[in-house]
Amino acid sequence: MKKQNEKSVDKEVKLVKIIGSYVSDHFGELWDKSLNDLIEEAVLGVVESVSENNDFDPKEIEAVYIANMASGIFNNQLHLNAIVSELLEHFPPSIRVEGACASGSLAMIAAQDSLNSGRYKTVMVLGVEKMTDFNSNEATKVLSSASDYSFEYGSTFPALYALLAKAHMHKYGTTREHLSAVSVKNHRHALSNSKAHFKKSFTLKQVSESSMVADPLRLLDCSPVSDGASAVILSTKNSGKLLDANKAGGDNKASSGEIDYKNKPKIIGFGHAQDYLSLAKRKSLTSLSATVKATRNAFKQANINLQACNSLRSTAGTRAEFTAKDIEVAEVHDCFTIAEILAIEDLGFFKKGTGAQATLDGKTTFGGDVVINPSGGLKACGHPVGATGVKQIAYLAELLEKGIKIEGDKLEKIKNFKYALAHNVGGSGATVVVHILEK
Amino acid sequence: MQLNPANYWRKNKNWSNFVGKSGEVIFATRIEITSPELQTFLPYCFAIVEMEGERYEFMGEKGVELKKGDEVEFVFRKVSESDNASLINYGIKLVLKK
Repeated sequence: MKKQNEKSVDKEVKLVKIIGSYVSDHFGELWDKSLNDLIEEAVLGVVESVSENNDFDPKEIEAVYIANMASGIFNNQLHLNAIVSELLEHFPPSIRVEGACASGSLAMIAAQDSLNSGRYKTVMVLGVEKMTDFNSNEATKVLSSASDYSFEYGSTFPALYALLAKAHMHKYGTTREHLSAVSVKNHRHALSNSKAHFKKSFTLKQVSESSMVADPLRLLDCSPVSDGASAVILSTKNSGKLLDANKAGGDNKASSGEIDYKNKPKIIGFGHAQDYLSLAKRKSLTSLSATVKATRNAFKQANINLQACNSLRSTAGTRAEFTAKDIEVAEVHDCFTIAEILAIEDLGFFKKGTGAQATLDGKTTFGGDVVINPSGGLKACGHPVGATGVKQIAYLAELLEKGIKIEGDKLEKIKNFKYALAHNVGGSGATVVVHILEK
Repeated sequence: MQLNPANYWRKNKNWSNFVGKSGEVIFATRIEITSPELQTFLPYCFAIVEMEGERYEFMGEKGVELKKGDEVEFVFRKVSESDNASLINYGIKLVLKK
């Protein structure tokens, strides 16, 4: 029995490290860049992020997972796995993953599974969406294909989230001002993110008086249609330089620039859960049950990993249970303002029905209980659908490594974080993935 | 949603389960921006409705204001614009019960 437990612990502590990350120069209407341009930039960018300070050969990337929702409609281009693979000299195996707005995090999970199974040791995950060649009405139609097409005809994504907002308002007394507070805060956060789609601040009044899209959601409650790509390189290696001479064909030269794996951000837990695609079939309209389940699984795994790591590192005993209270920063899926309120409650940061007021009270920004969407989130940083789930991980990995500049009383200072969480939702909540990262 | 012949044969079997019956609005939203083939119906409501213990989602007829608690009737109406060469796109919509 003891041997079995030890074996299980060994398996659990094979943590996936994020050794490289890239987010497009900025998200937005990138009219001069094609889908292929975005993919190529992300491949080159993420490889450079590892190789700039280390001796890294791209041949070490054993597989590529590419996330995209609708390039077949937006760009009349499918077979993206082949497009991304041919950008690497050694044509690694590549798989495309689609799960609406959760495509990116699903690709992450597919990649992590391949690493945890031992099949690969180093892989790339890339997310991309080129949306703005369509006008916003046409894009609305494409995005609505992520709803139940036969059961919810006539709906739009803002309309589905508007129904969730109505339910939350009815049950918890959430107000127009509460919704606006999410938008104001995320636009303010985006001001310090050079890669954000929008770098413009708004007042509560401006958000509350923006044009109506689907009552009660207004234009400034909605995330934009954006172009963009993001990528990460994941590895389960623990030491040594990345390049394996035998695998790379023996043509690599000896190197001295070893990657400092121990100080790379690690994925200590992740959860993935599903629910009905149609809102009418859901048990609750004031909570996304898939978020609740995915969160529970992510923290369960994080606890196993943290306890296993602690027991390996020292004999000082195991730590207390790791919970949402330990998370200091999170990128959550705020495709609409109500989505962030639902998320921060379902993730366990705030009790059900209190997330809206917590946002208005400044508890979800710097100096509050937990920093939600420091990048600006989908709302202000942008939402290139297939890229979003990967961007959340890439952004948080950089944040954990480098910290973030914030304005103090007198001077700018660097705020550092130890634990971070990413929350990515597909559609109106049918697919949810939660990742927990450690510095 | 385009109503091609295959869709028509799959969907028409269910229409009689709704037409003429009534239900209650659980929540409704008024849509003011939508996809191109639905533009002519703007503004319209979209609602979760309950009928005989089951919940469904339907769009309202153009200009019909729906709110929580309203009693509605299921009617058979055009649900999107189609070109002259396609089948006319019909389906279930909601109107306020008289």
